[in-house]
Amino acid sequence: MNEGKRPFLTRNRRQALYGVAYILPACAVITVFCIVTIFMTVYYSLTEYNMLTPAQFVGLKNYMKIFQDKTFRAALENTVKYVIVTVPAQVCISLGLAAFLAEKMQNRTGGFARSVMFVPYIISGIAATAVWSIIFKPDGVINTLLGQFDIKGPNWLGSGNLAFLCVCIVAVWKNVGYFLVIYYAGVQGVSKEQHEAATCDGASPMQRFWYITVPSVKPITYMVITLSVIQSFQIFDVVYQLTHGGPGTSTLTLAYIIYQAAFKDWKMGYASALAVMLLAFVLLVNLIQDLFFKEKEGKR
Amino acid sequence: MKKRLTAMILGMVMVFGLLAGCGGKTGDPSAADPAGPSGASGGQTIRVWIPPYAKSDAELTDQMFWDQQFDAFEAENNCTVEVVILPWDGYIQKVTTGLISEQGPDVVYIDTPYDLVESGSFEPLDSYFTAEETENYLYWDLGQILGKQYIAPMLVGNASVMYCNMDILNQAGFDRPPETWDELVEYCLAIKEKVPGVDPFLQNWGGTGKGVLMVSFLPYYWQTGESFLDDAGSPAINNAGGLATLEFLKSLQDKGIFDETITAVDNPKDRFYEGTLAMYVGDTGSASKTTEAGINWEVVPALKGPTGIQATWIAADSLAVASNSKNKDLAVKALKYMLSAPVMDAFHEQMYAMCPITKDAKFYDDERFQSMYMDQADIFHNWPSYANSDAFYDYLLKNIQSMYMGDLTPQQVLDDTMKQYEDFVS
Repeated sequence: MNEGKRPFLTRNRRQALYGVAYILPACAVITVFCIVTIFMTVYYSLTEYNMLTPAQFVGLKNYMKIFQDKTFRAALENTVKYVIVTVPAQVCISLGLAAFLAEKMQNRTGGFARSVMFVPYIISGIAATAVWSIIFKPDGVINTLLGQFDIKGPNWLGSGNLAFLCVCIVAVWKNVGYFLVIYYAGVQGVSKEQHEAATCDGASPMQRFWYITVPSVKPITYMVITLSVIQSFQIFDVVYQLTHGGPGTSTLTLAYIIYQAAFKDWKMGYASALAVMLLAFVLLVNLIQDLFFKEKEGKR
Repeated sequence: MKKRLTAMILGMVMVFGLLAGCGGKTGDPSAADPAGPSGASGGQTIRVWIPPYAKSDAELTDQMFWDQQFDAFEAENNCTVEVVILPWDGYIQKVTTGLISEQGPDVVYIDTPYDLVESGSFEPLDSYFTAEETENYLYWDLGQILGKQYIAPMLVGNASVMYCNMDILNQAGFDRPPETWDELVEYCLAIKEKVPGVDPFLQNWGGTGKGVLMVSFLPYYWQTGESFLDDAGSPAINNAGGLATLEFLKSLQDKGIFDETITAVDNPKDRFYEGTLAMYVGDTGSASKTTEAGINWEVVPALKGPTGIQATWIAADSLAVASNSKNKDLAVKALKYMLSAPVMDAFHEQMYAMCPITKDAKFYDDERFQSMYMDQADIFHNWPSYANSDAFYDYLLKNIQSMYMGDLTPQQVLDDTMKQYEDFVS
């Protein structure tokens, strides 16, 4: 009689259960440390909370304060400037280097160069920036070298614009290796036949790069830009170690003022509101970027 | 099959590991927390959190020192004292989170106590001390906050004083340190002219945190005779004294005494040790290192401001007892023990020399400072106590940096700082 009844754990169900078991740890981590915390941040952004006394609901007060806050305006302006400077720089340098290494250095030296360029990404940001701060000091490495040629070195960390440039230089130096590795994998996949055909037709290396390599790695460029934008909006360690947001407010960033509001001033509600704003900015920029890429894709 | 089984087991281990990591403390508290209310010896356990003071190359570490000092206390009181040395970096953040978590200290060292006092994190000490005991403390009144004695001053001293390299001053034609603002400018201009390759005077405007202000702004502000707080206990520096201070500091740049790199200078002390800086304001704790560097130095405790007032900053870091301590009586006993003359004498002699804090203790700091600390006590000011002071100092520092970069005038620095702070606390 039971012959027609199928067992509960069929092959498909068993497979599905394995799948669930495999992803469960990752799901649990993401749920606890990302999703739940986002909701908690939104809740705390509507409260006044200093961790020492219970949170008090204050509605949108923290958000209203944000728009009157001169420091927030300076940090937002700097962060946007930082994204505008570093994202294109990171994309262009890493793509250029990846294409060069893939075409001209397919040997041990190339492998060594790739490893060396990846090192800044894996070393501690604080440690790396501490070294850079020695380089940029008024009597640091760069100015001492310039002094050998009787050139008065610039005031790297003491002038607003130069300090901002220093933050950008260190961040680009640190991230290029990571994007280089991603691009290198993509460039390796570009059809060699296309390159050979173009060479036969008399295309220069620059033309081949521009008309073959760049379009071929477009999906990777989309991913690199997305990651780079997100990373850039979150810039903190370099600012914390190199300039502490100064001089004045010239290198303050959104992530830095969130840290300051939360862990120096103990304004957790205000810091949460700033964090929600940052999340909103990143989502907005990604949405615009998504639309831009889709539109270009549609025109092709 | 074997592979699947292994994968399943690994998956389960990860999930249970995660849940265990996220789980709160349950069951026997002493099992989860070895420093729980009961010590291993059967007596009680208290925790003391304190920052390090030993030199980085010292043989006697802070941990060793305090453990040794507490041996007698533990034997006498049949208890265990667990001393935790917390690094200075992020000290207040760690203390605050420790106090919230109830896994924190019973006795804690604190330098800016106002916000923690206001939130009820500390136990008032008034009822634990007799009048006879308090009379023995030289700086007891510095622990009065919001009308009660919440903290007991422990390390008093390390005042911001002006160090002068007398060899450089002599080359410029001076045989004593400057005494007034005008003299400082006169000395600087003369050094600039007569002693090439030397900076006459530097301030640490490239530094971070309130430490910059305790040497580079507050002494000058107090030298104008103005009070930092108004009658309501809020900071009020937007006055004639505040303006005079900032105009004086800006004039040092306008007269070429500071160059454009002043907003990148974070440690003038090192330049002074090298002998390429004539004068700077630093802590008295740097005296021994200055002598070791072979500098022929003298100090002036504080310059005289436009109205002839001498004033400067002094540290008055304290001990407090957590209001959530389960052993308050024992914690107060430990606090009194730490402040007692034998323990503080040992601390000043072996770890870090500062002023004696009780009448029965000895003076171990550089003898050049003894008369200053003993006879000129009225020139010293500690951090003013008010809510969200770190935010105020941060706004002020950033605005002064902007002034040196030419973005703000002295008056705008005062206006913006007060406005930003008022918006912040509103």
